[in-house]
Amino acid sequence: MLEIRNLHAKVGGVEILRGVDLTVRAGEVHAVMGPNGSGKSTLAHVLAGRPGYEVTAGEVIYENHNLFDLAPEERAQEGIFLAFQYPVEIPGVSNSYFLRAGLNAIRKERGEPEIDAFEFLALVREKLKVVQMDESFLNRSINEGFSGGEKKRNEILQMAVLEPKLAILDEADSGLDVDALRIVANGVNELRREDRAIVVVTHYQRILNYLVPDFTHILLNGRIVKSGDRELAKQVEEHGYAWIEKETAKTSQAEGRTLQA
Amino acid sequence: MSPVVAQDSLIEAYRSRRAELAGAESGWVEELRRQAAERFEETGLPGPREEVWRHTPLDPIRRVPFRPAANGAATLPVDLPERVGEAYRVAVTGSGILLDIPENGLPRGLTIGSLVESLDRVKGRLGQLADCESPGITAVNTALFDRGVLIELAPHVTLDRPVHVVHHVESNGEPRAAFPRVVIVAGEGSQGVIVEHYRSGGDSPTLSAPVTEIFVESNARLDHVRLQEESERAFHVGRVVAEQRSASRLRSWSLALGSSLARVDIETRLAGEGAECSLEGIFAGRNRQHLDHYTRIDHASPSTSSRETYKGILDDRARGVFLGHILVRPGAQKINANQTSRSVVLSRGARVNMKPWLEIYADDVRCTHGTTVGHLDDDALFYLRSRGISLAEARATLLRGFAWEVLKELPVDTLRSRLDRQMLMWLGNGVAGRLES
Repeated sequence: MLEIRNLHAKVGGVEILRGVDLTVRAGEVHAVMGPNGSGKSTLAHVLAGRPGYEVTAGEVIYENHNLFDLAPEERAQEGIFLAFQYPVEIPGVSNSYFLRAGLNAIRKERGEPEIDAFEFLALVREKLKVVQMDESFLNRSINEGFSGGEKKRNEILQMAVLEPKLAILDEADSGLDVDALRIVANGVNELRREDRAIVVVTHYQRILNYLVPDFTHILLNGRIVKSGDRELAKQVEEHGYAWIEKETAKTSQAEGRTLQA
Repeated sequence: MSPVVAQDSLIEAYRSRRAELAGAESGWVEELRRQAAERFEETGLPGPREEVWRHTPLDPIRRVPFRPAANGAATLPVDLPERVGEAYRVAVTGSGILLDIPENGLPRGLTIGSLVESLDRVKGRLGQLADCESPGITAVNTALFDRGVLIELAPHVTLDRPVHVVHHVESNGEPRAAFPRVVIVAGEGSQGVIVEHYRSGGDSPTLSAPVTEIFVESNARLDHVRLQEESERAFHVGRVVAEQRSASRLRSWSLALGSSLARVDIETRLAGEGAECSLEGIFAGRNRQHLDHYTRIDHASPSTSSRETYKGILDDRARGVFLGHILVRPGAQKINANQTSRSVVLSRGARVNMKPWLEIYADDVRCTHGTTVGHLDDDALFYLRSRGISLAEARATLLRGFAWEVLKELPVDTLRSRLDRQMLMWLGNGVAGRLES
């Protein structure tokens, strides 16, 4: 579904991603872990197409598309979804308008008719249950005055409504207490499907207790330096990132020696 | 071309028509007009040396030999705008007013009359709030007003529907100016909604220079909506002056969407304890439109409060101006005043000047103000696009949300949703994407 090859990207002239390789197949859940500044969020935003993130090398193939040929809205229409770490507040635009406009844009791309207000309400009522949200959230301005937990749940609500093929969750657990974390993680679990892939970008392991990944990758200095299964995430929980950093340093020194020789 | 063409032409019109002007037979009106004409002859149209006119040169108006609009036939304009909210509708024409109301007539306690035929009723009110001293168009309006409406709400009356006043000026073949005059009296404890709607048509330049005086008596609650949708050949220079008695509330909206050059003054004097006002406005300009608002809130009594929100949207080479004057008089303690002005500039050629002007002579005052000018928020645009919404629609949606904060409390449902739709479509198709960098 997603094939990232040797991806390099700059933000504000600084190289953040320095050769990321990652393959994600339908039905899989991948955790991308790393310390602050390792490039996790940059990777998530580059995949979603955020303007200002400059791809300098490499390629990303998504469902037979060269991802970088697609505008952000086209990526969404093709089934990519990014749950934001910091969802944006948009005063004056209602949450329900937002959800419906997005859904209709995606339906149009799929060749499906636009959904009318009644059908939409029925659909969104079901989806609200997934994240235990109240119907009153629909009439409020997008994220305006929402608590941290409500914003995160609103992201998962959008995912539930838009039904992406590839969902990328950027620090979906940051700032959440245990209850809110459980709601968010269980919401995502309900959305796991054979034909849907999920990439969880996270600093901490704790969300992975609820949302169990098939694969875990460690991103360090803009590169995936170690991959494994869910056990790798637990090792990070126990020992932090330092041991991986050391291991990587040794490897690159060894590489350096080989090159010199 | 002489720079005083408009002034000369209008003074000449006053001289030649003074005997026929409404109220010529009653001494006080004639005197009022005469003094106003003198004042206008002395000062002319305001110039850039006046601080409150600094950003809005009236030269394009000054150069045109405007003559007062003809006393046209008493017919409703052909393309009368849709009725707002099943309103009591009244069209102000050069020869009187035309009422479009249900068969059973106006409700008890509501009077709508042609101002020029009701001058006896407005003695002591007409010209009392809108003085000719301040620079502007009050003097020329007072000298020449030839049409208008008087709306009175009797004490303790609550209107069941809005009153929709349509001002239409039409000009074919030669430049015409209209000087509508409106007097609104909201009696003690009354409640109502009045929409003043300005439109223009024809193939030649028009000038609308209306003056509205609003008396809000104790405990009255009045909503005044001013919707300016004149054509691109129109000039519009208008003024609204209100006086509020104790514990009254005035909510004002000024929506400036049309005309090539428009200036509106909205002024209210909080003259009784506990009076409160809210002034809101939108100016949305494109091409070379120039849209200016000057507002003045005069906290003349203690325990008065005001809230103000103005929003500008400027595209192409349009220009927006907002000057928000708040005056707190000596001895007016326990004052709350809150002013916000925000503009979105959509193109490199568009410009906006917004400025708060606070004059505070009391010490127990809570006054906040904030002004921001920016572009559409990139983070918000990306957020919308990341959900599949096209760039064009994302931009339109953000603009709509920006305007909605002012529109959301508009007291007429049909008008609110019509304007909401209009703001969503404001950028137009194919225009929306061109600013992507």
